Amino acid sequence: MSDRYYALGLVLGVTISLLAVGLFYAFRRQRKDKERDGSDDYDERQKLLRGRAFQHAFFTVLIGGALYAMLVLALGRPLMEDGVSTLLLAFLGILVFGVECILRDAFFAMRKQPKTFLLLFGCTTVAQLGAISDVVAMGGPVHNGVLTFQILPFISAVTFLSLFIMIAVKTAAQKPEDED
Amino acid sequence: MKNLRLKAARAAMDLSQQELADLVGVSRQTISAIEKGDYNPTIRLCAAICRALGKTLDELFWED
Repeated sequence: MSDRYYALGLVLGVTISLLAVGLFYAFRRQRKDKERDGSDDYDERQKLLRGRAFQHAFFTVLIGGALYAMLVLALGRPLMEDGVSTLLLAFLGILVFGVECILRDAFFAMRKQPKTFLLLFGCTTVAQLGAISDVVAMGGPVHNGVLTFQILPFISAVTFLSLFIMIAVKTAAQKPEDED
Repeated sequence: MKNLRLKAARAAMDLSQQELADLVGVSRQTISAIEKGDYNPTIRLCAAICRALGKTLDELFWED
C-alpha cells in the first residue's frame, strides 16, 4: 500500500512540478514580450552550441538505453522497476545537456545571473535531502535486487548538485574581458 | 584565424566586448569567440557588428 501511495505522490509531484515550470516560463515570456516589444535575446553561437549539446544528450540517452536493454537480456531479469530506467536516462540526458551548455557558455541568463541559478539548483538539491533520508530510513531504493522509483530523489540530487558545481566552477573561473 | 580588425575597430570606438555584445544582442563570449577566430558568425551577425562599428563587411571580415 505504501508503495502505491509513494507512486501516486511521485506522479502528482512530477505533474505539479511540470505545471509550475510551464506556468513560470509562460509568465516570464509574457513579461519579457511586454518589456521588449516581442524581441528576445538571440545568440546564434549559443543556439548552435545548445543544438550540439542536445544532440550529445540524445545520443547518450540512446546508447544508455541500448546498453541497459542488452544488460537485461544478458542477465535475464530487469535491474529496475518499469519506468525507472527511463527516468534515469532522462536525468542523464538533462545532465549531459546542462553541463555542456554551462561549460560552453550557451545560455545568456546563466552568465548574466549565475547567483539565481546557483540558488535554484542549490535549493532543489537541498529539497531532495528530506526525501533521501525517508528512503534511507525505509531501507534504501533497492528492493529484492531491483531498483525502485525511490531512487528518484537521489538522481535529482546528483543531477542538480552537478549543475550547481559546474556553474560555481565556471563562474569562479570566469576570465576578465578579452582573455577568454 | 584571429580577427584583429574587429578588435581594432571595437577599440577605436572605445567599446568593450560587453558593450559591443549588447549593441548587437549577443553574449560577450560570442564577441570574444569571433575575435579569437573560434567562431564564424553568420552574415546576419556580421552585418549587425558592421553596423554597430560603422564599418563595411569587407573592412572587418574579408580575408585577402
